[in-house]
Amino acid sequence: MLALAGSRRPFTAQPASEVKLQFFLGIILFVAVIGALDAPLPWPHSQKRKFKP
Amino acid sequence: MIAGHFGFAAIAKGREPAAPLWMLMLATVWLDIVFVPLYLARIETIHPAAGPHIGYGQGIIYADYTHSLVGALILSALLGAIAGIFWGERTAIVIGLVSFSHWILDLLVHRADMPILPGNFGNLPRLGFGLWRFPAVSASIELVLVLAGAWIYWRSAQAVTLQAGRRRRLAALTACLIAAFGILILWMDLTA
Repeated sequence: MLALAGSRRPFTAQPASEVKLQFFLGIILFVAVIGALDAPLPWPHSQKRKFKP
Repeated sequence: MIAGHFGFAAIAKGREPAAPLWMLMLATVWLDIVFVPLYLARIETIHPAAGPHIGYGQGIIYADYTHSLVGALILSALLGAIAGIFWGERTAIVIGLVSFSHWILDLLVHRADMPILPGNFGNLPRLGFGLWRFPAVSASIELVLVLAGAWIYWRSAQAVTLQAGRRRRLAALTACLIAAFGILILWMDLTA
């Protein structure tokens, strides 16, 4: 991931906003989609929350 | 390495169903998340190993705080402690270990650029087995982690959905997307 963050051009020439965008878009998209799909499954932690008084 | 870390998070979910998947995925890239602001502040840097272009595995990464052995242990313990507030002691340990797995996996591929102490204090030898010198090998390891993660996740998700009698298709879809996203990320990393 670190290597991808610094890809295409040397880090000195790469705009900070571009690096930030690449990194956060990738992470947010992947984790959000997979996390959102996984959350409704009847895992132990979601069951515990469901039956909490 | 990006895809391999996410693959490992999916493997961890299969073995520890009580830990939320999104938190495991966050944990597996926690060191890189902390790296970003330090990179933007030029405290941690990436230099090309050869030539001006930094492609897959072609960077020498001076992440001397986030990716030092002691720094990684401290950051992992911190994230584990935060996770413990919400999910209890066992999940705290799992999250901490998954976070530290990032350092172990990076140790395999990095080109001896990972220090032991933060800031490379004491100029101790830098660590890294340098598998990135053999991109086919390191990419294959990542692919195996992704596919193994999707498979182990699916087996575990199938077990809980069968027991509950619902959402079996959603479990299969999520496992497929873990594999698909993982392969896509690996491809993007390889062609960067």
